Amino acid sequence: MPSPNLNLSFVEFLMFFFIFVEKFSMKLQGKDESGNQIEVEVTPSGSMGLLAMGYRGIIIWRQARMAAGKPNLCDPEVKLVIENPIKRKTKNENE
Amino acid sequence: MKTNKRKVLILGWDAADWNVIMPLMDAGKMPALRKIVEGGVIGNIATLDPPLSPMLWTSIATGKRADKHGILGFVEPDVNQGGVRNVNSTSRTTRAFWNILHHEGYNQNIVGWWPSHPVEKINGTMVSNFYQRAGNKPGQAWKIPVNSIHPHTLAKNLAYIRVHPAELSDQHILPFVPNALKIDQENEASLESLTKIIADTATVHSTATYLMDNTEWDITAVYFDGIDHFSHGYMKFRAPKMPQIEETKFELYKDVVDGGYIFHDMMLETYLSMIDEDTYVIICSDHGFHSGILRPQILPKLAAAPAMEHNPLGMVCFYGPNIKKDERVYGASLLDITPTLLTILGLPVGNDMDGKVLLDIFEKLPEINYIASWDNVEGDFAEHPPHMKEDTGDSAEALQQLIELGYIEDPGEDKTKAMERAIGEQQYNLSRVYANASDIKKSIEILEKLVITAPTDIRYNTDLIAAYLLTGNTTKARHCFDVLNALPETDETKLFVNLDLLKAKILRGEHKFLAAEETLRDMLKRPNSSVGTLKELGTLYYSLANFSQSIVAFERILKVDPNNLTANYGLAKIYLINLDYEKAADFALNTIGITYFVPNAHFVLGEALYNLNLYEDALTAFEISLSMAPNFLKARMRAVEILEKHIANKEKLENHKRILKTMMKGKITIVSGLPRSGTSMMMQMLTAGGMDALTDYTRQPDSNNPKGYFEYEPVKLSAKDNSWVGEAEGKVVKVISQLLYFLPNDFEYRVIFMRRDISEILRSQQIMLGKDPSVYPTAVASVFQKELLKVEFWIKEHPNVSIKYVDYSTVISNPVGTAEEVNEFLNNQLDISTMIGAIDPTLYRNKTQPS
Repeated sequence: MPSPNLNLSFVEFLMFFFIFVEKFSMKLQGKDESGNQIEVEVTPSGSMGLLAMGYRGIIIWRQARMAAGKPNLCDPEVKLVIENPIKRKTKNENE
Repeated sequence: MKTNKRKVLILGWDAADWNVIMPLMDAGKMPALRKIVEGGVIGNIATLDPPLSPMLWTSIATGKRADKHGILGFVEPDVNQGGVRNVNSTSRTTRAFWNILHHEGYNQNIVGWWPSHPVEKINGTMVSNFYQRAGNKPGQAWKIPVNSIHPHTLAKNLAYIRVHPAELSDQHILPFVPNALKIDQENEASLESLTKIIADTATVHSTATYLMDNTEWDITAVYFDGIDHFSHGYMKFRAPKMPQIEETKFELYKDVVDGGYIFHDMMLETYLSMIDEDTYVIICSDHGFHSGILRPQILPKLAAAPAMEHNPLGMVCFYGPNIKKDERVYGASLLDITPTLLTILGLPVGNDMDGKVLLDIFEKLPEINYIASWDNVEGDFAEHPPHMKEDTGDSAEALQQLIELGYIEDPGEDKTKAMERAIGEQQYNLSRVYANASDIKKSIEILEKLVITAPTDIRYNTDLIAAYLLTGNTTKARHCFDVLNALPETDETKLFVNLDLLKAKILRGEHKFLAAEETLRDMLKRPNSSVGTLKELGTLYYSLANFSQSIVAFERILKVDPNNLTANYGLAKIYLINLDYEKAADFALNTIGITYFVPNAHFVLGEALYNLNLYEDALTAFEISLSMAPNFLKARMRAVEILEKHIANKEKLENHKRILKTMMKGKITIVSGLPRSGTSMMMQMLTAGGMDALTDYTRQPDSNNPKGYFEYEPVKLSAKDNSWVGEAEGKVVKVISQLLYFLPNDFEYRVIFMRRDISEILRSQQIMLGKDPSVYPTAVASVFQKELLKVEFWIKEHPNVSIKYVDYSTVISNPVGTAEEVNEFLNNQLDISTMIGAIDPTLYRNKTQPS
């Protein structure tokens, strides 16, 4: 049985629900299988699910680490810069 | 300029393999890929040799083999610093798809492609394969390598979203290693390498997702080395447990590889959420990775040895608007990705590309256009400026010259040696590229130069043996074998050469079949006998026409390796000979499914279908075979036959016939058989009947053959030189059965094969050799019997050979009837009366007495 502890619940979350990130908050909002609005809190430890989200997940994770007073182990000299982001519609938004 | 708005997402998953993916998908652990599989076309993708990733990913990006694209390994001589460096994009000698698409006005994001450093200034963004690796200590500045991002202004945006291994927590480790807390991290570096792989992968992914979200793009191509690195590090720990792996380590690390695949599936889910319905998706690997019984237990300490863990079949998926749903594609190669991508985008395919367009993936067949070569098109292709493009081999030599002349400081002995090794390694890889492309002559040229520099190198000698055997040069193959055999037992590289297997192959090449069989049989008695041994044994039995034993060997292989090319192809050929056409077609299809570019397999399929009266399909199979090997005489003749007798297509028929005519130089009549089977008598009959004989009368008549031997001396040297054959056009020449196999294929032969009772032949030979005729040499008789079977088999494989068997005793007992049959066989060109006059029944000595 491979990777029994892999955060599969998060995978399923990614599969079925739209992940809404607003102002890089430390919480993810979405809907569960029943359509109920849910909110997932991000811990400073992060998760494979956050890595799999790509840059959005990493930004959220970094914010959570910062809020918890954790040092920046990646590169303390760089700051978050998102210049002129192009608002692209995701598949879910199109729907 | 760009004429349509099609978008394509390409994900490169280095080393991804269906053998790992399928069970995970079945268990619901790769749901994103399942969507692609069910909604698109999937298949195996054949790798190239040598299976070294920078070479392979460049072949994927160019549609060309390494001899055309110039990337020849992991490292290359460093022309600036001396020594070696990671292979650079400046060494690529042809345009990649991103150069072509830049010229055509597409906006692209190319991330992590190997090798893509230094970056090329395409429309859009390129992030090189040097970018993701963290070179800093935790908490210190992590510098972005120079020339790793285009445009460099994006560096400030991307830097923040990189992932450093030190940031990862137990939340990232435990999914891969649930008992990670039990590991003594002071003495065990395995978790450190695991975190590096996860962090590198996450950085590539975050970079790609950022670019997809924040740029206007038409093409995004992202390369991940994660699965390859997870596999090289941890596949040996995966179930089933390998015997050399400690139980504790097996329990710790057995889930790492599967976790890596699941992580990639999670990332895929993100990508799928970021694209619209009109975007095409291509996911492919460059090779697979052995995950079961074929995993090597030990790797030799040789350059590029980890490539021995690679499975030659990788995975490929296509998904998108005009892609078939839930279908399979057969015969895909790495070389096909770029031609297929260009076709999706409506752009012409380069005729100089080695790959093909995978037409079977499309619901509606797209228009395919061709161009001689994209390399000849003028304009802006965002290539490196000329001063950055260096032939690394030449530059390294120039550097060496400068060092020797004292113009620059010698970088040191180690650097110089490293540079020499890198050049040698590149040349060795190039020799394998040529061998893989069936250009054996060029491969040998390189290997013969290399072996001068390292006479006992096991790779050079082993590859030379294979190449020499392919060209029939068993003498040189034997010499290389002797070199390897003489290596001291203490030479640890010797442990990784299967000398007995090489010996058996050489014995087969030397036609010493019994000795080869004995060697292989002994090998099978040992524990851990390899698939290689079974392959050779199956092949040997096949060539001896011992089909039942050959089937046993090949079926044993398929039990452990169902995708084994040799076994599937061998069984296809055997069932064809055994007239079991349905099975022959099945195994031929299997073969083609594994590796498409096997013209012989398409021919076997064609033969099987032809005999099943499926002429349309048979013609297609023969024509595919001819598209790969236009000089495939047998396939051409079959195509003509089908078009003449079964399918009306005048244009096709005329075309095949025209080509056939230019291929056929003329007709030659051969009289053959075992020595002392009556070949001289038949030669007398034919010459008496009016045919010209090619003979030099060097061998004079004697008491054994009072009317002469009718031999031609050069025929005896046919194994080494068959250039005499052209002299035989329109004539008859005597060729004993053992030399038939050396006849070139570009003639049409009419063979009159003499048959005679083996005991009579042996008695006649014993007398001729001055031996006791009452002694019956059993071993020789056995060899002769096998020889006759071999001839029958050879004839079946050669449609340019027609045969007329003639029994010696029948010639004596029924001279007229025999002469008439022979005359008819030769299109009625002989004088029967003079033919029968040449038969002298008094010469029928050593006759077997009826019991």
